[in-house]
Amino acid sequence: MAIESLLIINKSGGLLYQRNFIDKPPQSQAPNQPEPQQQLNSNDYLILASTLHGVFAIASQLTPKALQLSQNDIDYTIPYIPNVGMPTNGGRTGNGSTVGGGSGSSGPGSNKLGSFKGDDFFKDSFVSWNKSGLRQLCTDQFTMFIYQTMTGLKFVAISTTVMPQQKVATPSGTDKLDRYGNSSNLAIQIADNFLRKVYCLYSDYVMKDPFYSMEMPIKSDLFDKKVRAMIKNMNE
Amino acid sequence: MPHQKIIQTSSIDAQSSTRSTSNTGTHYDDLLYQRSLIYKKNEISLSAMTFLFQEMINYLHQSSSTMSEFELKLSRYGQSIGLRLLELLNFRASLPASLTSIPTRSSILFSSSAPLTDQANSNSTNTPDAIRKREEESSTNADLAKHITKMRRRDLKILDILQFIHGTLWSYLFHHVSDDLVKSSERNNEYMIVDNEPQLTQFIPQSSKFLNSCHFFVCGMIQGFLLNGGFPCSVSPHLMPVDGFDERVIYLIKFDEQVLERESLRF
Amino acid sequence: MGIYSFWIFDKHCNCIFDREWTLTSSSSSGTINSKQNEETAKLLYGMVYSLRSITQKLSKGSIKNDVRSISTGKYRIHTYCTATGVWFVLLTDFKQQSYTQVLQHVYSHIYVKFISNNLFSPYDFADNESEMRGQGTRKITNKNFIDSLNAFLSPMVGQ
Repeated sequence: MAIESLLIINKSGGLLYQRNFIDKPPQSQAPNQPEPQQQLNSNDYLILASTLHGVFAIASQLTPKALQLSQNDIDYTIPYIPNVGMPTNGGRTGNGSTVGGGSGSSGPGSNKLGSFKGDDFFKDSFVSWNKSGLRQLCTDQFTMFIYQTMTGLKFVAISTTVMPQQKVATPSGTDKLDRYGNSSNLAIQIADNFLRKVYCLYSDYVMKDPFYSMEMPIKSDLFDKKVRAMIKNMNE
Repeated sequence: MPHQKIIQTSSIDAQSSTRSTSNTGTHYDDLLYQRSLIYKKNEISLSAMTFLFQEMINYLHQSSSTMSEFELKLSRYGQSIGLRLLELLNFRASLPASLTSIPTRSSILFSSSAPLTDQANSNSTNTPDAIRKREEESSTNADLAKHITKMRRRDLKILDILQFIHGTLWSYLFHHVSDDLVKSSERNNEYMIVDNEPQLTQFIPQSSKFLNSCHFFVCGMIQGFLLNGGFPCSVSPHLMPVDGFDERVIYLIKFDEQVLERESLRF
Repeated sequence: MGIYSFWIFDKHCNCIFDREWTLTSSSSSGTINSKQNEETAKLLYGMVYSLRSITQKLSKGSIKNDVRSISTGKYRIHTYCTATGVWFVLLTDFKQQSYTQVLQHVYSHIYVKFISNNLFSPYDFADNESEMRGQGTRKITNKNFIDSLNAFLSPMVGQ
């Protein structure tokens, strides 16, 4: 899953953070196209963020009557998927050193996850807080995933992966759905795992920055660096 | 009449509640003072510590009108810690090795928090077991002094006390010895302690123009430590990024003239 | 329960047909062209419209980029937009990833057959100015259309 773009939207629909991670096709394509694809400006992204925020609220209003009547509980548990957004080689060794000696793991390089211990931010399945809002938007060119936190913060990832249009691999697909509950499929689970890790980074590098004022655009270069590293791991 | 009644009941409520809090309060106070001075692995969540640090900086930043005032205030916070640490660490270093399980390479201040979901079950400080353990500790505390056969001598030389900071103080605070200890080649009274990855300020963005000032907390600790040891000096931080360590910081220690004079008197 | 409701919107933002199933057990339950669903239809249209405009803004190059499906925590919306500006919208559960073929079939074999090719059915459901601006209330009432749609979609209700 290649992440193209990441947005963070605060609880009132303001855009806190927006970055593109895949460079637009270089000049070689420009001569072919008479009108160069105009890049979205920051105002466009602000509109985009508030639109998403609005749609998010509408989505819960549209719950079908059949669902309201039947009250069958949807399982919102998202399983932990290892190695999402993690470096592929260093993970195991880091684990060994940390478990081996609690006091011995003082090597300054080993603790790369900020205030998180071990080789990953979390290791357990978790329950999605996004129970009635928008979670995924599939289009012909990209897929958008939304992870919502308990406080209403929304992390939006735009992936270049396109969901298959035909019924592909239905038997194995249903098998997985049975195992993980039917509220989400594998792509959503991977995206939720990834975005939850971005949330972990946010809790470290944004919330622990003394000069960050709440609900304001994120300018921390450290956060930027860590997110870029994680997305590089994702895209590899 | 009902008016009075309400007041009475509320005052009774208040009394009972204050009594209960004072009860538990003294209980904890007792435990705090009875706690053994011997090193016990007693980690503090890095998250909690950085949140506290963040609030400290925020508070000082708002209450100071100039940057140098902010730095001075932050450094005073650190000094009050450094002053006490000299006493404590010297005492611990005097204890025989049998009593101190892991003598120097131990940290009390900082450690990473448990993974996100484990937080609930790690909190076991108030179980009866833990309290009993603490009481046992406090009983050993009373006759701790008789285990000390020989008190560690006060560091009198600049190099000795800097070594102590580089090794023992740094291990106590940050879980590892400092990355380097250098003497300035240009000036006689200048020494440098290097930390490649400062833990406290690791979440503060490098682009922030105040990052350097935030290091004054640790500077204050060093300064207080040295001051209490009889080495008046001034300490200032300098950001010196190298490859791989973007946050590398150098704590520059400038000793006062008198320290050098005293140093030269000895042979 | 496979599918929850089915909607058709015309190019004037009017909902010209809606069918909602309310009971999982019975595929004949629910409402057709219900008055109560008017507000829901407007919300649904607005939601799909907003997301379509986002999608088009984010698209690369001149290739058309359309919304296929929208997942929420409780249900999934599938859309199929035709060249004439008619939208087919289906609300389903999560068991199946794509309903594009289903919607395509509804369009080509049911809508075109009973509405477009039917001289007695109005082609444009908006008659006057105000109905052109999204105030329309006319619905598809063609019995053949409703019957064959029911016959096609009913098996998916209790899936």
